[in-house]
Amino acid sequence: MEELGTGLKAIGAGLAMVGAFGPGVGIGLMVQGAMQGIGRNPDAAGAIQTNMILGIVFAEAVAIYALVVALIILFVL
Amino acid sequence: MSANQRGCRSLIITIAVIVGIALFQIWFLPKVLGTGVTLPVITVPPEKYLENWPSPELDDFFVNTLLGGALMADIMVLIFAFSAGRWSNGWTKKIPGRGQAAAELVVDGLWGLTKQQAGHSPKVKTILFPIVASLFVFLLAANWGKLIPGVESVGILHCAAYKPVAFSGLPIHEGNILGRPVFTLRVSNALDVGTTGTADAYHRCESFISHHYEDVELLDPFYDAAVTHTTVEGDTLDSIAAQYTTAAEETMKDDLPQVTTPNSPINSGYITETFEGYHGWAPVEFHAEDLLALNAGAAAAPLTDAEGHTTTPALTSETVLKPGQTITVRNELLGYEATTFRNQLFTVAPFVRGAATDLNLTLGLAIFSFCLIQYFGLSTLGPNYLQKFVNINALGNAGTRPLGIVDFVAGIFEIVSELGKIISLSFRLFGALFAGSILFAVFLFLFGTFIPVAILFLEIIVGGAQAAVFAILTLIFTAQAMVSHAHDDHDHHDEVGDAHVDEHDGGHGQPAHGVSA
Repeated sequence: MEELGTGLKAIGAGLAMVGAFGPGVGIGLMVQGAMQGIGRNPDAAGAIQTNMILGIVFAEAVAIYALVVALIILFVL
Repeated sequence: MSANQRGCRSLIITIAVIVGIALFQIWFLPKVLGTGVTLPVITVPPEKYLENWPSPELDDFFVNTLLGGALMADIMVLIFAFSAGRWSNGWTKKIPGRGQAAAELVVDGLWGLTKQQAGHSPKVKTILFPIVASLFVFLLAANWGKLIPGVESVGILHCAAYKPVAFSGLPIHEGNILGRPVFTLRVSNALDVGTTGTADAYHRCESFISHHYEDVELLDPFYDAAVTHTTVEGDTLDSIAAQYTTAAEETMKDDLPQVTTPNSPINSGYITETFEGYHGWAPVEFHAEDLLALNAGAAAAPLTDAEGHTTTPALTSETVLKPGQTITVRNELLGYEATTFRNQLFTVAPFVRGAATDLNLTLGLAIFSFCLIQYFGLSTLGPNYLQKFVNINALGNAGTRPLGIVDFVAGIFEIVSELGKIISLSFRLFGALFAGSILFAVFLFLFGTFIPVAILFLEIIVGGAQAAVFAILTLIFTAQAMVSHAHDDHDHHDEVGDAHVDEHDGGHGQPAHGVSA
């Protein structure tokens, strides 16, 4: 039954990566907002970029949790 | 020669180089040199350098590849710092050279950010800024140092034990065998990653390394698994061996074209032999002597003589066996049969691994950052800092402001989110860097060379970004901890009733506002 376990692990890791969906959408929205802000007020580009990157990092963290879970399923379990 | 012709020539040369590199890996190496691709090391815990030091229980903890990676990063930082000091003549040069400008760029950028987020009180200047800058520079060195050629790739080559995945022991006449062999790492010595390998697996792999077997593959209908047989009336060890040899041969006949040219000779500690028969495939044979050795405890069928005495004869290859017992036809495939190119892979346990690909380092740094945050919060605000978590003030005012209870409950949630900082900081760094290593290893495994260089560029960006993110988040969390919300609440609470909610929300949204203003 070992190969069944391997297959189930692969499925589990793939399902864990579904968690990257939300952060992807979130980062897209964030960059959209930042780009609009920069377009309207190009002088504020510096401050907007810094805050945008910070926001992206927070959203990205969720995707990385999903990645870590997937890696743990594949290589540790 | 026109520009188009030159471009055409460049394109053709580029494609030829890529194809050549790919062929070198997938055709030249196995066919000519008889060596395989090393399996990338994918393992979460660091490998120990020394066995049983300082004690057998603790040898995982102190001297391992994490220490190697961290020391390498430290040395890189020190070299950069001393070189920057030399380039700038001990920071006396007024017009900076290139190296001094780079060092000043890093420090100035970090100091500007620190000032912007946390102000420039003496404590920030003398404690927070040096720590944040050190975190950034150390992590940058650790993350970029892992991309230096040799790091994560130079180490001890050792065997990956062959572990078949199949329906173990399924006799071929009972159905199809669906499993395919896979490879796992099963070794446990110092600098050997994975779980324990068997002595047999090592013996096979080492004889493979020294003799470079090639061009012999095995069609094993049992996929290297153990094979057992349940005896029926009249079985002897001879008949069982013959039965399984025939069964194996029948399977091979169906699947393979038969040719008569002999294959290349095999020389190893096991056997010297030239195969004939099936091209590229070694035959699977079972011998009664091997079965006898494997089944010393098997019972022969009792014989009854004319006078009614029952005797049990000694076990030989021709003895009729007692029905219903289990005979081991073979345990696992041994010797040259198992030692073929396709079913052996090697792996490298590197001497130095990227420091941040180890959760121990990132977790340690995150706990350190957490302590730093709490220290700054407590030393700036005093005991009032704890009101952020257990809002006694709101509880005390509950009589006049019942909605203040919400603040109290929110404070409890703050505790969770505060502890979550440890997890978020450590796992973000670990996940990004470890995934980068795996990505690079997988691309190396798929394309060999040239194409993975693109991943290196990505890794440079990710490594720099993650180092900056760790340092900046520590800085921002600390700045956040030094701002008192309760104080603002108290000031405006009595005079402005309705405006309070907005003020409160604004304070949360822009934590650094209070300090930088």
